[in-house]
Amino acid sequence: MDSLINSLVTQVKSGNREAFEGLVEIYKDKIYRLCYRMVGDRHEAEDLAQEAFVRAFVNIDKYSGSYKFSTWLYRIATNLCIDRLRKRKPDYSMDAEIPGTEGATLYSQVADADPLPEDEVEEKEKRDQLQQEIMKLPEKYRTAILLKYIEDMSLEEISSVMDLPVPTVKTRIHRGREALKKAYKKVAKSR
Amino acid sequence: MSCVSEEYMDLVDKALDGEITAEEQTELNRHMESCESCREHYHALKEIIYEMKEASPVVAPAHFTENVMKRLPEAKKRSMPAQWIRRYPVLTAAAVFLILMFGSVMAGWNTENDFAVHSAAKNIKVNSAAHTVTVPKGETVKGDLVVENGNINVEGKVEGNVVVIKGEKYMASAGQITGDSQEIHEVVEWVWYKLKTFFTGQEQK
Repeated sequence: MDSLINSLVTQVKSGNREAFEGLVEIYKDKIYRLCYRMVGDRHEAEDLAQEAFVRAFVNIDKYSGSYKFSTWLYRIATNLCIDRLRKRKPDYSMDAEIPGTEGATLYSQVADADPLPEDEVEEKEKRDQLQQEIMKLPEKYRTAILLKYIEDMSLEEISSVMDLPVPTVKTRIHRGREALKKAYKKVAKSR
Repeated sequence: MSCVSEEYMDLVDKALDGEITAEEQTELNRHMESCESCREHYHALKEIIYEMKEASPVVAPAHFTENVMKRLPEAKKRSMPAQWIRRYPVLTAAAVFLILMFGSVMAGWNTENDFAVHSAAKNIKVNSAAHTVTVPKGETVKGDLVVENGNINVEGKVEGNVVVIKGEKYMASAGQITGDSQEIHEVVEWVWYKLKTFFTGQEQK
């Protein structure tokens, strides 16, 4: 796999656009998923993920190959997401009620239309709840938590994606999951 | 009942990070049997992690790759020469220098048709009308002698180098040159000569 990636990267560097299509195919789900978990909105996630790939293409010469291509790609994507979150911070929340509706939030707009069996509904609610709680985490904890548990990265990889020392990454993961636990417990009790 | 022991909190973190040793795990398990708060803490975190990992799979929307390819800037603007310049800045600088140098010297070859003599010596005969320089018989010229666009007759002795650019050198039987002597007729020779004098600063006025 790694040698395939490297050969595609080399081809892109020498001006082959089709080779880049291959790279997008390989990483699109991962990058899209990360963006979605970061910003919590499908349209925005699609836009961010596409932008991440475009930037990777434009700056391909800056990728030196001293670490994995995926690490580089994740770094571009997380930085884009964090920038986007910072820009919209004060005035935009998924929890906000949509004007002209009764109690509908953007989350209900995102939700799947397919009818689900009873216990699956419960399972899904739980997960939606978790996604909401993840969304409420400060972005520095959120990034670390997502890379660790959704993308299943090692601490070392996360450290190079976030450009932070390993102990700092570890602390952020611990604090992040601690915060999630507290929020989750509250939800469970209120049910 | 709440457990305030930092030690067990650290053990829980270690267990969840997969860094716990068998001994520590045993110790933590024993503690959790009696401590409800630590047990609850550990299982709640474990559940959250499980839930996150199991979170319904998200896949990129349809036509994602197609749309990315559409958004890419048109055929990379930086063409081969530009890449080459970025990769080899020193070589590029040297090449540019040589081209400019060659160009200005070439221009010199084509335009400088004036008769000129460069020599420190006073005892040479210069005939500007006939474009001829003569080193008289019995005289000794000290230092280098450069003649541009003219001929030279060496009847005496030159203690130094003689260079004739776009001209002829005639040696009398008694004539003598102690240094190098050179006639330049071709552009290439001219360029080489100019480059040499540029770098060694040997050209005399």
